[in-house]
Parts: sequence; structure tokens; C-alpha cells
Amino acid sequence: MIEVREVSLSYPDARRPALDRVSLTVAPGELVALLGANGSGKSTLMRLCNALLQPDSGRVAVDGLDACDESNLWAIRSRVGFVQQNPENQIVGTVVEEDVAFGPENLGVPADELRTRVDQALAQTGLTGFERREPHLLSEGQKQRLAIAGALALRPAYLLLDEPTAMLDGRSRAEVLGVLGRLRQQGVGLLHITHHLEDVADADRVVVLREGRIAYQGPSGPVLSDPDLAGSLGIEVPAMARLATTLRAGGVGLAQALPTPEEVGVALWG
Amino acid sequence: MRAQDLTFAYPAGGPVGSVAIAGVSLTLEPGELLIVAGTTGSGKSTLLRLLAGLLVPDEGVVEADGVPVLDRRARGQVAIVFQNPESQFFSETLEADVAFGPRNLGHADPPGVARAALEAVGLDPDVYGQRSPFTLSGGEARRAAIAGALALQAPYLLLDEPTAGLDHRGRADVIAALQSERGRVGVAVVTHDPEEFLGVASQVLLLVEGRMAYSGPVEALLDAPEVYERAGLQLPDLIRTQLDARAHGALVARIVFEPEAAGSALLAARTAYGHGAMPESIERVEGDSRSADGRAGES
Repeated sequence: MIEVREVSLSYPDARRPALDRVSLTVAPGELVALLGANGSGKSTLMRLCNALLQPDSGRVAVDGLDACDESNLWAIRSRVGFVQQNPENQIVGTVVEEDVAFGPENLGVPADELRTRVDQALAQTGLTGFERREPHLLSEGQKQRLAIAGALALRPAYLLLDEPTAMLDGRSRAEVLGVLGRLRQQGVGLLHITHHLEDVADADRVVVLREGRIAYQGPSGPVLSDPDLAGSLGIEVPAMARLATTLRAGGVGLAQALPTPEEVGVALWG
Repeated sequence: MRAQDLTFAYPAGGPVGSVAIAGVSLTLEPGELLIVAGTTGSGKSTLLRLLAGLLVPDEGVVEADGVPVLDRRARGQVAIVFQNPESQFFSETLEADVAFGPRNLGHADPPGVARAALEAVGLDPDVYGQRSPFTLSGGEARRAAIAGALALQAPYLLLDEPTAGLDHRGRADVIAALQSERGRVGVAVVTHDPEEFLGVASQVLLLVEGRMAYSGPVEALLDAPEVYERAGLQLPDLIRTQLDARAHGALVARIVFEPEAAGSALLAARTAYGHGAMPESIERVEGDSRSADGRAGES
């Protein structure tokens, strides 16, 4: 489990702390969504979870390993993978399999196991068959899946995802979300930063940060179906959730907080 | 602005594919907002650079008010805002940064123009003018960068992914700023996610591998969703829901982009639908024939 307990952190010269007594946990197989406006502290909190940053106060531990203890850094970073917004910034290899092998190879993983890990990571991200492809010839969605494969090759128990779909078009976004859903089923714990609540509607917990503090922690349902709550949190309610709220108010029986067009069709037209 | 039969290829052997743009034509009038959409690698950003005169087409011509954009006389006619423009701030104050362009163009009153431009994007010059551009939030910084382009007072404004990376308040701010400028300038917006612009745009140009897959009004594109999907893009769920209602024979006269308005329209259509035959008495919104025809075919 990733455990963040009562952490505070201030950047030099900032008007207020970037994080103010924030606590959070991510267990294996859990999806925890992290939302909040630009500047609310999401990325700072995420960077505490793999010890890229150290808190001024409070504790961070990963599977019991204290993240403030420098001798734990490598153990923690091999347990906690990190995927950023822009896939271009994360690709280092000249062909796909080289890129995926980069991390474990650097950690001294022997050649035969390296092959297994690369093949498995490519299979998990739907990139089998692309081994010899040059990364720049991949679509954006494939590039982001490659970045995820690179993280998976280190066999992490957790993945930190900092807006992994922000630069993707609709289809690529669906591909990446599909991969993440399967990883979660396989027991990988996910901490996912996004501005799109619809990407994480099935999260175990939604955590909303506002000015460095936790403003909401709980299921996505209430945020999706209560415009006042969402508004007070500064969260954009997805269009389909707003549509569902309007239809329910008009007497349409619609159970889902975030229905698909097909589900709305069934509710409206039978 | 007019572009005729543009073709452009990057040098062979480079990292990018060979032909980037092939046979693209468009017109953009002041007051219009044009969406240039397509997946990554479809040639959107290349087209924008051709329109701005930053790339020289292999064939075809781009003119702004009758003057080729590559001509010196067209200087100042077209302003472009690149992706992540806030990385290009360099002055100590926001006002100085925005005034840089008009000063370079020899404008009589650069600070005055800068203040007006900040005002236009919703950044009060008295509050923001003396602030360092490096202390702004994401949405503020993006609007400030757009102000820098507006200060050039060009009749045509081109923007590459202007809302990427912004939270919803930032995105709403940027779209509001563009809308308030529409009366004066022709705006072309490149995006891989046209959803947020469909409600405010007048025209769409879809690119697939550098070629035009569609060029025309927004409404007509929504009547041909297969074109949109062939371009590798997904129609927003809210629009698909309304198209689905039409397919069921419900009278959805006009596709709307606001969820609450769409909900009300669907509720009204359902009431009519639930009462058996679609009553002829429901008023059709002018200009729409498809839904009424579709209904007539079924009844």
C-alpha cells in the first residue's frame, strides 16, 4: 500500500503551502482518482508517492518502506512506476522493444528475463507485434501505451499517472483507459491525475484537492449527480452526467450516474 | 483569408512522413471560427504554419485580404499562437510582454494596445499589467499569450491546441476570450479534441493524412457522423445520444451542445414519441428537414 499521512510541503517563496496536511492511500488493485484545478497540488502529491519530492512534515511509505529514508529510494521507485502527460518526453529507445527494455536493463535484469518482461509489458499494453517499430511512427495513443509498457517492465505494484490522456484524441484515450482498467484487474494500484471525471468514474475513490488541501474524498457518484457539490469542488461534471441529471428530473428512469448514449437510448426509447 | 490547393511535403528522410498537406483549400472570413481537426500526424499544425506564412507551400497560395501571406505587405495580417505559448514569455511584466509585438510593428501606442488586448481576454490590465507573466495560473497564462497575439491587431488569428493542458475553468476562459474576439477577427483553431469548440464554431475542416475529409458548416458534419469517425475522431457522447434519438424516429430538430438543453429537448421528444405517432403539429426548426423526413419514413 502507498500511504501518505498528514504531509505538508511548501515551495520557496510560495504564498501558501503546496500541500497542507494531506493523507491518502492506494492499495494494490485500487484506482484512486486525483482531481483539482491547475495549481491545487495534485502533481506535488503524486511526486511524494515515489520519493521524487520529500515532504516538510508528515510521512510517506510504500509497502512499509519509509520514503524519507534515502536507502529505500530504489526499492520504492521500482515498486512505483510513473507515467507523465506527454509520451514524447518519456521515450528513449530507437525501437519499441529497446525502449521498454531500458529501465530493467539499467537495473541489471538478466537477458532472458529481460525478454520475458518486455514481451509481457508489450502484451499488457496491446503492443505485441510492434517490437521493431520506431516509436516516432506510432500514434499518440500507442506512444502513451509504450510509456506505460516501459513503466510495467520494472514490474511495479503501483502506477502514478499524471494526466496520461490529456494529449490524446478520443480513440487513443479509450485505448489507454482500457489498458489501465486491465492493469487494475491484475492487481496494480493506480493513482490517476486527470481533469476528466469521466475517465475515472469507476474509481474506488475520488480525491479532490483545492489549494493544497483535500476538499473531497469518496465515490464518484455524488460528484457526478450533484451539480452543487461538483461546483463547490471546482470539478467539471461530464456532459453525459449533466444530461442524466436533467433526464432524471424529467421523470426518466436512469440508474447510471454517467450513462453511455446507448443506456440513455434504452431509458428513453425502450 | 483564402488558401487554394495547398500542397506541402517535408524533406524526404526526415522524421516526419513525406506528404504533410495535399490539396487543401479553405476560406476564413472575419467573424468566423474555423475548427481544423484531425488525429495526431494528420497535418493540422503544418496547415496552420502554411496559413501563417511560416512554411512555404510546394503548390498553392495563401492570401490574407488579397495579399499573399508570404509577401512583406502581409506582415501583421496573421497572428499565430503556438502550443504551450506561455513558455515564450520573456518580459518582467505582463504589459511589457504583450506590448512587445505592437512595439516591433511600429505601433504608436504599444502600452495602450497591450492593455486593450489584456482586457479582451478578461485579464484586467490594472490587476495583471504589472505582474510577472511567470506567476500566472495555467488559464491566465494561456489567455495572456493569446493577448500577445491579439495585440498585433491582425485580422486573422490562428491557434494551435489553445486549451490543451488547462483545467475546465481555464478552458472556459480561453473559449470565452476567443468568442469575444470573433466579431473583429477570423479565428482558426487546431485541435485533436473538437468537442469543446463545436458549440461555438461556424466551420470545420477535417484532415486525414493531410487531405481534406470534410470542409463545411458544423451542422452538416453532425448529419454525417461517419465522416467524422472516418477521420479517426469520436463524436461526443452528448451528440451521439441526440443522433441516436433521431434514429429512433424522435424529433430532435437541432443538435445542441449544452447538456441541460439537450435533456429538455429529449424529454419533449419523448413525450411526443410516447403518445404514438409524432404529431405533425410540433414545429420544425427552420432549416432542418432530416429529422422530419426520418420520422415520416417510419410512420
